[in-house]
Amino acid sequence: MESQDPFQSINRPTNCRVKQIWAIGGGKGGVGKSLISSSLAISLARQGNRVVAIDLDLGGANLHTTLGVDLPKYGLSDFFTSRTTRLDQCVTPTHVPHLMMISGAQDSVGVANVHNDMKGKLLQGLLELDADYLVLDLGAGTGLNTMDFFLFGDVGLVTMLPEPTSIENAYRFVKAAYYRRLRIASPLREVWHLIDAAMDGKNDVGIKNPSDLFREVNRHSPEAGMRLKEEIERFRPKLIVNQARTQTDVDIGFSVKTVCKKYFGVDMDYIGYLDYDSAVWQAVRRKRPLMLEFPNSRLVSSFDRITQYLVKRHGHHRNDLY
Amino acid sequence: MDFTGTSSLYDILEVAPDATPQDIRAAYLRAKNAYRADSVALYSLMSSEETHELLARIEYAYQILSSPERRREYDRNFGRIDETSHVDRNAAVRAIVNSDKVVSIDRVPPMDSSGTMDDLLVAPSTDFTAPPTPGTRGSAAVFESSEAPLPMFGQSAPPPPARAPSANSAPPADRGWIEISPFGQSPSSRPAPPTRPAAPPADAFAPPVQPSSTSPIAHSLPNAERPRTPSAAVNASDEIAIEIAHETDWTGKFLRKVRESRSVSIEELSEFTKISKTYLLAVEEENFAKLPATVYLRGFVTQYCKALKLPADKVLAAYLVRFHQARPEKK
Repeated sequence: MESQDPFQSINRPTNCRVKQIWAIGGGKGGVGKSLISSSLAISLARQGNRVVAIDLDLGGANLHTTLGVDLPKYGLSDFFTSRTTRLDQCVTPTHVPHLMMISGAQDSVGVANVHNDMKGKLLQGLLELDADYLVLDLGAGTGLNTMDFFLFGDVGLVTMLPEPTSIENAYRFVKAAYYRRLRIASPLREVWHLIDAAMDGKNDVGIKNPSDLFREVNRHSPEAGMRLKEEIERFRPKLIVNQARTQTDVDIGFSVKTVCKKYFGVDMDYIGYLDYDSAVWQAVRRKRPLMLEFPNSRLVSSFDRITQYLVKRHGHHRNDLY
Repeated sequence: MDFTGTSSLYDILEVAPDATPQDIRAAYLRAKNAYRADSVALYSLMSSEETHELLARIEYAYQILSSPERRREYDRNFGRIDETSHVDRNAAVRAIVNSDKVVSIDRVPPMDSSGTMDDLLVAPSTDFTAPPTPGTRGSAAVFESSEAPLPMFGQSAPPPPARAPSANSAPPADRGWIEISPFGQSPSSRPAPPTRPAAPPADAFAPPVQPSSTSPIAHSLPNAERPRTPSAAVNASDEIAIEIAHETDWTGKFLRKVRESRSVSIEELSEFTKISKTYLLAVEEENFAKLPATVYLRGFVTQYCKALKLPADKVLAAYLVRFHQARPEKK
């Protein structure tokens, strides 16, 4: 387990234009991460922001398809293999004004396992891009890189479908991000061994859930307990329920929020749900962005609403989340 | 997740301590839905034992918080009032000052000579200074001067045997009315309608207090006959009624005695009359320096008497004489 803070070497450039980074993850594949990323990016761009959507699904990049762009000439794989030296050479325009994208890694084998140095270089490069908003489309799974990309975002969105498999993976994702975030938080340095134990799950300290961890940390030192509480309270991922067919599906979002509060002590923000809509697969088959292909569908207005909410609520504070 | 180690009932339902009943109900339904046995939202995260325990706690919390009476009792014993009163005196004062029970500054001028914040706490025997009794931790209703702890609204002081017989005779409509009235007492201590004409002499003495009075206060405050047990009650209320009949001085001390004999706490009186506790206590203590000008005091005393069914005009006349003697410059 790599334990050093992946963000510690990253310096915010003085003339940084990037206002905010949104990261969209969800644990399971096929829950709509790419669709939501592209739709939110388009929606943001339409509101007059300069946006770059970045495909960080390194093993299975297809954000370009949901944005209706042919496979770009340069992508992240070129950046990782140093064929391009600067990240902005990978930026490809799209058909939407103000919206650009960086394609994911395509072909080079093993690129999904990016080394820490390269990751730092990438994240540093992201902050130097000429854009107001960055939208990160993450891959499935709970790999370390995915977690770090998620935590690098100022707003972290977790998307899930109202079905057990997806919920299971969404919890796994939140749990991994949660412990990873605590693990790299330097104020908690002195209790890292306890957090490691908690991540293990089958540890001999008897830490089975976050409440146990909090109790053990408190026993170690009440001061560390206070800091742990602060760190936990600053972790506020946002939740989106995708493909909702019934009111029960919509309500699952509220239940998940309640359960997360109880289990993790995390205040999840349930920012909205997306109706199940066959327009989505039609748009995907035509390789056209949903937002452009069906501009009058209910989904589009849902995306616009979510974007407006996030910008209004969080758009002006960097590091609102982390 | 529980950060404090002692989560309150409000924490369990994840509502604010000042949540409305509607909020509480909504939160309860949400929690029930989240933790129900087949809830998909629990999948893979919590074991069924954990869920079971949580559900039981949620049920318990809702049971208490959904009933206005039990919620008030809970607040009193574990709630905000208690927290502030024992931690920080100034915080307690702020709680009073900021409390919505305080009459707004538009209606009453600032108090005279209220130097420091501490000065606001007038009474030696308010609930904020009363020592917490074991069992009812810091109960807001312990008055030092009363011989025995009087049965308070929402508390279970009256012995159960006294309740049973007359509770049955109380019509359901009465019960509902009593429960929402600010001075509501348990139906048990309210005499059945047939006994009402045999009201104490105070009624004859003071016209507005006739049983037929249409004032809502008169209905909600049949306290002259408030018994601890039916027979003792008659005696006790008779005694105080006779005293009321013969009273001429109407001192603050006597007013307090009447109030306490009717088991009305200062908070309840304040809520009902919409007069701040500080002023009510000042009236009872005849702390004239703390009271506002005559025109306001007149209103306070009148409200006080109305709430307790005392002859307001007689009380006012006697009370204001002493007030003017103490503060001749204020007419």
